[in-house]
Amino acid sequence: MIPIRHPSLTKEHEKFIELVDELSRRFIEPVADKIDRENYYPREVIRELGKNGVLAPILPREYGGYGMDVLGTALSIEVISRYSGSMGILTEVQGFLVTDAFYTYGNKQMKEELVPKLARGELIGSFALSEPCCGSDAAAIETKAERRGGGEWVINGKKMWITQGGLYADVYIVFTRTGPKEARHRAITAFLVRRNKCIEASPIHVMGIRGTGTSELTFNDCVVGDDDVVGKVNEGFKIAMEALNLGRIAVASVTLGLSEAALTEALEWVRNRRAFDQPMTNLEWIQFQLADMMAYIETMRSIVYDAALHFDRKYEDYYAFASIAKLTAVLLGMDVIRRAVQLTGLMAFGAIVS
Amino acid sequence: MRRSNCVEVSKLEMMGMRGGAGEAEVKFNDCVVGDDDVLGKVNEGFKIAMVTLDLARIGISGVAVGLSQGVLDEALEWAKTRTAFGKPLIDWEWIQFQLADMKTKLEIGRTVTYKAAWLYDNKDPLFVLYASIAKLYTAQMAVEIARDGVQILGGFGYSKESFSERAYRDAKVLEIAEGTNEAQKIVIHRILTRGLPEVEL
Ligand SMILES: Cc1cc2nc3c(=O)[nH]c(=O)nc-3n(C[C@H](O)[C@H](O)[C@H](O)COP(=O)(O)OP(=O)(O)OC[C@H]3O[C@@H](n4cnc5c(N)ncnc54)[C@H](O)[C@@H]3O)c2cc1C
Ligand SMILES: Cc1cc2nc3c(=O)[nH]c(=O)nc-3n(C[C@H](O)[C@H](O)[C@H](O)COP(=O)(O)OP(=O)(O)OC[C@H]3O[C@@H](n4cnc5c(N)ncnc54)[C@H](O)[C@@H]3O)c2cc1C
Repeated sequence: MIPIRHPSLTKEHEKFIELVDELSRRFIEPVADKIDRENYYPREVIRELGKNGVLAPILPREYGGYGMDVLGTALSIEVISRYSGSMGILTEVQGFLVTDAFYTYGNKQMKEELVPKLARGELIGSFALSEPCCGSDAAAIETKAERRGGGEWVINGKKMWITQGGLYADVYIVFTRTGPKEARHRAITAFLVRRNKCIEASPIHVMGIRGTGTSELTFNDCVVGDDDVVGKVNEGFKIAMEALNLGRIAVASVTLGLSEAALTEALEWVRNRRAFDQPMTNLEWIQFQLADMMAYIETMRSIVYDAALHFDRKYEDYYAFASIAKLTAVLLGMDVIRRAVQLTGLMAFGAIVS
Repeated sequence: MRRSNCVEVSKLEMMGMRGGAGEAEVKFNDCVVGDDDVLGKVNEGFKIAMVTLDLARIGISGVAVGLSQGVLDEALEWAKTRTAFGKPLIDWEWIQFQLADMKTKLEIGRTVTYKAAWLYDNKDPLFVLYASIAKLYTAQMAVEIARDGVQILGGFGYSKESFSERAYRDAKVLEIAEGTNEAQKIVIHRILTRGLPEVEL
């Protein structure tokens, strides 16, 4: 693998990278291919990462985390994604989107009881924001939560594309409409919903990040209490956006990790392959491809770590940098990986199975 | 060579073009064939492969154009019916420009493909050059159009329910099989510097 080096990394980060790499090699590498080919949900891997505090490393140790900063957390997702992009996304959803949201906005009970179990991978949590009607335009969601007597709320509606949402989630953070649709983001409330018969799930089959249990969910008269409100009533949209800001850095890190692994594979492939009577690495085109890939990867690294540092140093415009990092990293990463597939020719397009 | 026990096959699992194609690694162990089974002449087989591939390149371009048309049709329909931020996607200028770019690339690809085919039909030796140009351009075009199509479809484009999801995976092989992009560049460069090869049409 190409080394992870950067002036902003501390000794602590470097030690943490080693730990995550060792865990990834032990638990993720053996099942990475199966996750993709068989759409296999790696429940046990999540538990193992959780036990070692690397599922939600941003949380303090007493809550099941590793006491890492945002940069350290981004690094863990990068390293994990060198072995499996699916696993990178699962870590992001479980650690960043769900666990950190409960930790930051949840009430005392959520924080003390739920958060450590999520961080340790004992419970699985899903982030249910997107709906059939709206993904990008999340302020237009339609799933309703209506308050009735005795401090109860009733939730009805559909959620779409929910990672590990179907068969696997024990709890959900569900974003609901608690006022007129015209009020958009000012009438959205987040709830903790526990696995229950009122939730119907059907799997969605996707192109990539397979094995992550992407599902469509229907909430039929799900009853929750006042105590299940996460944060405040009608202030849920901010929770979603804050979580997604962190999520953006994580997604950028997934792309970075995937690109590094792709370059490593391509480099090894062309080093051992001959074409037109010479080693492939003698060809200028091949050299320039590898050089471009390397340049893009280091550009991605800089912007991703820079965005993470914006969070850690509490810069006011951190959220802009999260978007810049995600936008740039996925564009460059897609390009790097496309070139890697091209360089490895047939072998990337297919793999021998029998 | 006919199917026989001397042929050993191990299957390859592919990203795209799955199913019927049944790509495999094939091993020939002491396979016996006769003089009658020689196709063309002894030691002149490479030419057959190359001439066949010249023609097949137009076939690949046909696949590229067809896949891309399918992707564009799906994206256009989706953009008309899906709303975001209070209006149909198609009313957003970015989406309009994406669709316009896709259409432009597609029509350029179609034109160069038909031109290559026309040259072949008219026994014009320029056919060899155009077959490579068409393959190089349309393979990349198909990947780009499929990528843009998936993007316009959003989450739906990533799911196996959409045509574009499959087209995206299928399109990638067009840049690799039957002469990679780079192989086309080798051919085009050679023609540029050495002139057209002699081919019987
Ligand atoms: C594998 C997978 C896992 C997911 N996991 C989760 C999850 O765990 N939880 C969750 O809540 N969601 C999840 N999602 C949903 C994801 O966040 C949405 O798919 C995404 O937000 C896009 O929304 P959409 O699919 O509705 O596309 P749309 O919002 O309908 O957009 C379609 C296209 O139009 C473009 N567009 C939209 N508005 C404009 C505009 N104004 N101008 C120009 N272009 C515009 C979009 O960029 C996109 O290209 C997941 C999705 C996938 C594919
Ligand atoms: C789905 C599929 C179906 C196929 N079907 C068939 C079939 O039916 N029959 C058949 O015979 N073959 C078939 N192929 C094989 C296909 O033609 C080869 O994969 C293709 O020719 C590339 O060869 P390679 O994979 O060995 O890559 P390599 O030749 O090893 O090339 C690896 C990379 O290096 C690049 N490269 C090579 N030489 C140079 C150079 N001089 N300068 C710059 N770059 C260079 C290539 O462009 C490529 O990007 C199929 C392949 C696929 C994926």
